[in-house]
Amino acid sequence: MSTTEWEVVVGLEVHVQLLTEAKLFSTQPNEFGKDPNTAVDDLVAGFPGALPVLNEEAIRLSLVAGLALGADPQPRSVFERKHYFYPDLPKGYQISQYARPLFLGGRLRYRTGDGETRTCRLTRVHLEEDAGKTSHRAGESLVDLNRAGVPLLEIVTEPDLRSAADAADFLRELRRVVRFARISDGNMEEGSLRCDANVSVRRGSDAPFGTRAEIKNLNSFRFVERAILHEAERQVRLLRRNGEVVQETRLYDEGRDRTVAMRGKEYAEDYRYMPDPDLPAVVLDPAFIEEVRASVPRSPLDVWAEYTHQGVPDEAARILTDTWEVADFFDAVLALGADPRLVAPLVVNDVLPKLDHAWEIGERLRPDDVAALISSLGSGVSRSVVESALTRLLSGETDARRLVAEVADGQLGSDELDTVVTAVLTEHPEQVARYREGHAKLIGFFVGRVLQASPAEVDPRVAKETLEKRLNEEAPRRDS
Amino acid sequence: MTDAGRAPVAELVEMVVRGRLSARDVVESCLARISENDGEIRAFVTVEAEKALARADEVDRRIREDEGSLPLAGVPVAVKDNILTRGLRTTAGSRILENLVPPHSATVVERLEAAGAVVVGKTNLDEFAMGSTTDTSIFGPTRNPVDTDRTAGGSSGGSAAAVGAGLVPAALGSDTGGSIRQPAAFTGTVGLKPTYGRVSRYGLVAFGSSLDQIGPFGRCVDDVARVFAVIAGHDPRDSTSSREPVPELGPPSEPVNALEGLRVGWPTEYFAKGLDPGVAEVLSAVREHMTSVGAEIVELSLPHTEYAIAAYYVIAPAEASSNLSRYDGIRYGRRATHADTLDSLYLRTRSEGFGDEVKRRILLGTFVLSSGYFDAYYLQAQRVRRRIRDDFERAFEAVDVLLTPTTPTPAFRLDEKPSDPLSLYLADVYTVAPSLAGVPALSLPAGEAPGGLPVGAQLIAPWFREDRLLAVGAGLEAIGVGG
Repeated sequence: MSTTEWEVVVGLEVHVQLLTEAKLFSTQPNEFGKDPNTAVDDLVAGFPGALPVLNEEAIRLSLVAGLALGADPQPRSVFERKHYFYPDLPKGYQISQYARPLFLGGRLRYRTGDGETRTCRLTRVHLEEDAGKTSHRAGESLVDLNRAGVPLLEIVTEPDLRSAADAADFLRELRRVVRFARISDGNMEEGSLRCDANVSVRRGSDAPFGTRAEIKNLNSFRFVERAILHEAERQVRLLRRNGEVVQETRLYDEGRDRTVAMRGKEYAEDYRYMPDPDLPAVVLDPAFIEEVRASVPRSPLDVWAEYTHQGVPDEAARILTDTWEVADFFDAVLALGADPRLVAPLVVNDVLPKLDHAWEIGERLRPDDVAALISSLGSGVSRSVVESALTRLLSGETDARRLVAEVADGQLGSDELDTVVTAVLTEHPEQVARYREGHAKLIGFFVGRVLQASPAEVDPRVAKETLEKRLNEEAPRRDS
Repeated sequence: MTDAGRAPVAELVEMVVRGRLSARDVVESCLARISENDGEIRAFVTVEAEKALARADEVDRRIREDEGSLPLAGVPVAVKDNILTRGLRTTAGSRILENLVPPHSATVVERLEAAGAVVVGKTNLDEFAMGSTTDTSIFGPTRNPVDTDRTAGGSSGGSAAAVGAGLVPAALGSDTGGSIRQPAAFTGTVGLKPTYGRVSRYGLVAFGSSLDQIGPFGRCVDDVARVFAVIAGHDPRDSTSSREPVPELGPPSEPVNALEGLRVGWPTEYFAKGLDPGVAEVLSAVREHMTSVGAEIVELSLPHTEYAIAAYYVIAPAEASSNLSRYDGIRYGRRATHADTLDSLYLRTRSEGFGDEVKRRILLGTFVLSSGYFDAYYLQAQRVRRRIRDDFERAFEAVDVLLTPTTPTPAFRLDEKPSDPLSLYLADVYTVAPSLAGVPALSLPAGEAPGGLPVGAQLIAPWFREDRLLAVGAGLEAIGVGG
């Protein structure tokens, strides 16, 4: 069903796990992938008598993020208790912020798929603790409290987004920002970045906002897009039949690719927010804010613009700015005088596909090695030599110049190759004749023979080029 | 053997440090007294003699090996059962925690033990410290050593009775709206509620977190001062604990000097209707006594006093309903059996685990925090709280301390306990306002009402001026007030 005459209105609530060493109010480690319930102390387990002590590092990271998002740090913010019962919520309340968040306002510029730059306003940014995880299997439910108490930054947008794709583009840019700010790895698969979407539809952009439904816990860019798309279609279908959209919480069912309403009871919750009497208000010293402001990193969108300005294609620039590690690496290679238009394809096409995670680039490669590879390319070394040298660099060897020389040495020199080629052609006069009659496919046969006959490694592409040159240029020997 | 239960703490420590008495001797005689006398009083809910004796031996070893100063060497201490003690069951008087053995101790217990004190047992209390008679405890009520037909008060009734009966020289209680001061008054002991933030709450089973304070009981002001000096001071594990330095609390050479020229506020609202004439008479006698040694009595008004009870019974239950959310039977404590859904697990665990008074306060607290009522109740109560705080701030511009009764009546008979909760709540009238303001307050024996029942006087000082309270209290003892 088409939704073209309808406008989709989306606001997001994005949860970003902060990369602190310890949890928000406990000294237990903030670490993904530990054995269940091994990052638990009396506070995390909600033991009687345990008290929260704020991790200052979380405030600093929040401040970096908030300032990077142009939000207004509030001189005084308050932690509150948000109450509900669930086995992975050990205290029976989540420590969050409500009436007085850490930040108000803010905005994020992002590029859409069509290459347009848009701005989405932020309502607020606040800090809270994560809950644990419950997993259900036949007859039992298991609780893991390792995630309980991990600091989460919640970023709430205004209803400024106008389509599912728009929301996903915004979210991708937001992920770049939190990565560039180095406050989160933004990893959706591990739950470091999660998203709730408020979706409504209206007839045209002048109509008042429709009633919204909230879709909870979207944990991939694809699901964000699919869920919003389906929810908008559902609402349009409903309204076309003169039905009414109910304000409710829904879940995206990935298997059936649609949204479903949560049980009535679960969303009729009254959280009974109350200022947490165990925690003093967070008072931000203006001098501290200014100190942190000085350390706020550049915006990934500005970096993107800079790269494209230097001649890097749009899409390559986008990939280079997906993580700060890659952008920093790219910059470091450029700082050595390399041409961005040559470095970008090498990094995007040759380096990144060989890494498990893009952020490893700085750990696996040195910028001067990449600069050396680029300069080898410029001085006529073949791509295949450079690629082999790169593979060896990524497997832990060092010194690109030496590796290029070694690879090149290991390969047959062009004179030697000529000798081999001559021998192969001489041995197979019939095939040569047939090739020259138009059986171009025979080139594969010759390449195979050359590779077999060669005493050293030969780049098949080079062998093919040499063979073709000889076969096409030389006068048929039969005549002589 | 010296009766360690009757000796002042200073003398006891002196004897133990000098080796005239071992900590083991002191603790043994204390344990003997408990097993002999506590059957009737029922101050203790848990006593583990072997553990206490092992601790005492450790203190004796530290003395032999001269491991630094031990200001409470060998002093047996009773600890209210809502304060965590490592390896020693801590129930908060509730079925829901009846088998909880904590893996670590509260900061106050660590500090007491570091100072050489020996925890001999855990004392009775109202369930989660909610009550004023210890009647809501799963262990049943503690009896007043002065008259065993009467209540020892609450919620720290077990600690007060243990000290009053001479079972231990000192004890810890907790005070949210009067839970140290009221039982001190009822049992003729001295009880101090410190300034909010003065003593760490780490390891205290939370009731009303913005009000809860741990404080000491003793038979004289000096005993209380010595325990207070050990437990007070900043604790990085409690974000609400103050960094305000704790002043030296050495005993004044001439305690009575503290009274000369002292400006003593007499808030008229605390002497209005509802005050038992016997209690009023004792307080008037104290007033005359103080005047006679050169103190100046200043009658003044704390105009928002009448709203204190209402504000307290909004704020404390609100915080309690939140603090008690964690008792769900999932991770520790009692869990209901035969629950087939998550909701029924919660429902049964909490229905079976909590008593009526606790449920009443959870309901009250949940109601006042509910959306639509939060502003009218909780925020309004916080506004009242600020006014009450301002009342005290203004009063302390004119006077050094305030003098009031601790309770409107002496200890009542257990069988005459008011059946409606409201009149029990109203009896907290003199203790809740200082709790809401966060100021320190001391209850000390001021005399006897007809029938020989102890009457407590409450001294209230400005924030962090426990030193002044203790000096004035010692002065009153020196001129013979209360005994």
